[in-house]
Amino acid sequence: MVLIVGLDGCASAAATPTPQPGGALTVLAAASLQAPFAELKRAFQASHPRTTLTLAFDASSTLRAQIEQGAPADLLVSADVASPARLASEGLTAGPPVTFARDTLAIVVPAGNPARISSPIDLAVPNLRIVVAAATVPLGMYTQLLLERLAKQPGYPPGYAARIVANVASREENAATVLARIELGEADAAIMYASQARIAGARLTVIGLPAGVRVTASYAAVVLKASRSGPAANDFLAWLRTPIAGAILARFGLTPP
Amino acid sequence: MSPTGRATFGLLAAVGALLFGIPVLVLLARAILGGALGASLMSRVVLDALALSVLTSAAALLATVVLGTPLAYLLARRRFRGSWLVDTLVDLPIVLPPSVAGLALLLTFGSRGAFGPGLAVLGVQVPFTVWAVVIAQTFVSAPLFIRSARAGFQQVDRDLEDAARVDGAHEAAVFRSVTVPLAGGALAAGLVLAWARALGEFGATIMFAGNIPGRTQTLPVAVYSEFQAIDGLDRSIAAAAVLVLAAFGVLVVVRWLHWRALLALPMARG
Repeated sequence: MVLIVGLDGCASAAATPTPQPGGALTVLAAASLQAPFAELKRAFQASHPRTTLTLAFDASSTLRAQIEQGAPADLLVSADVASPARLASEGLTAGPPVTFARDTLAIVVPAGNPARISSPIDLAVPNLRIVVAAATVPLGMYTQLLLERLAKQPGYPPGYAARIVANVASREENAATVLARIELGEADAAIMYASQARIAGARLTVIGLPAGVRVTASYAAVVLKASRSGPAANDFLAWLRTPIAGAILARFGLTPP
Repeated sequence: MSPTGRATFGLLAAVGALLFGIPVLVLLARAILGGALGASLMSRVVLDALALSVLTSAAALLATVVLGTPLAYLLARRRFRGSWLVDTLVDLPIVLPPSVAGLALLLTFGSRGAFGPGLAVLGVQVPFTVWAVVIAQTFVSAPLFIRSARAGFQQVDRDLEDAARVDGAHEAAVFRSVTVPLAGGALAAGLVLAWARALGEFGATIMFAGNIPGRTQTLPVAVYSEFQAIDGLDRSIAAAAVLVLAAFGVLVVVRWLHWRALLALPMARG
């Protein structure tokens, strides 16, 4: 078997100057990327038959902690640039992080809008149930930023951010559980990535933000030092920046960097 | 007890029974009527998790028997300096929150842990591998077996062992042919309970072994993970239903073992 693969490799090396690297890659990715990455995996494996991808999702900060404790993975795909940067400073990466997509934050309500929320101001109405991400994960940090920016808008009540905090029914441990909670009807509103809201489609309604208020999230991927398939991992990282990958990402509401 | 008191008591008991029973029945009903047990059970994620759970819980059970039996025997038969401490340490994982167990294992075997760097030199990678799953399961489940086995060994009539010795049996033969069969009911009940605990392990697993499909994603982790996945609720329910049925089966077996032990006891003594 090994011999055949070896001969095959020689044969194709003669035909094409650079044989495609291969390997089994474990990709730890931000929870919000489940849908686009399922599609990216299909497309990448179709054009790179010698590489198989195993995807595992959780909050980027959780994945970063797992890598610090020795998780044997090849790539981290993070919803922020801080987590890969932190790993780089700890000497756990092989090569620089690559930002490959951007996302924005959105305020959403379940279909039917039971609490009749029409503007971000309405989130401060007492006794609402709002679901947000925990402050320790990237989405939670972006959410904090969004609320601070909204609070500075003209017409927003004093103590706006504090009133919203009082309405927070749950701080979820990653972006996917924020989506799961509101899809189960457990909240009047949630703050999540715009791409997630788009994938959820008609089940959620996005509440418009005031002009000029915008929080952008950057998705950055990095090859890990623990990777035993460095060439294949670098191949996938570079592929994320190709027009093919960009088109798939765009379909899920993610914009180029 | 007054009639009113009796009625209140009965009402509270009924509420209690419903509170414990209904959520599980709702889950099973949703799994069966919603079709999750059909299509979603056959999904790759659920089948992979099921296979991994069966494999790792079997390995954990093997480790439990090999390491737990001598420990339970010594704790049942010998009083040594500090035996109370060993007794307590063995029971500790039963009452520890699983997240604490996971963190403790990570600090012990993690790449930044006490033994991680040493293991890395030997080329052994423990955290976030299938080995971590087995260790986490053994850590939290073995104490259930050890407790049960310890009680079983304590109840064995020492005169019967002595009788075998008088007849010329070696210690190993006495243990194998007299002690273990007499403690058999307790050993089996302990094994079944430990297996169920290993199968249901979640908190220590997700902290120490992570959540990688096909590698460290056991059934309970898949329940949590698929709940978060886009359109994954049915797969989550299917995985959960399998666990409910396994847990139910375990309790039926334990009950049967208890009955068998109760019925067999007079004959063994007689």
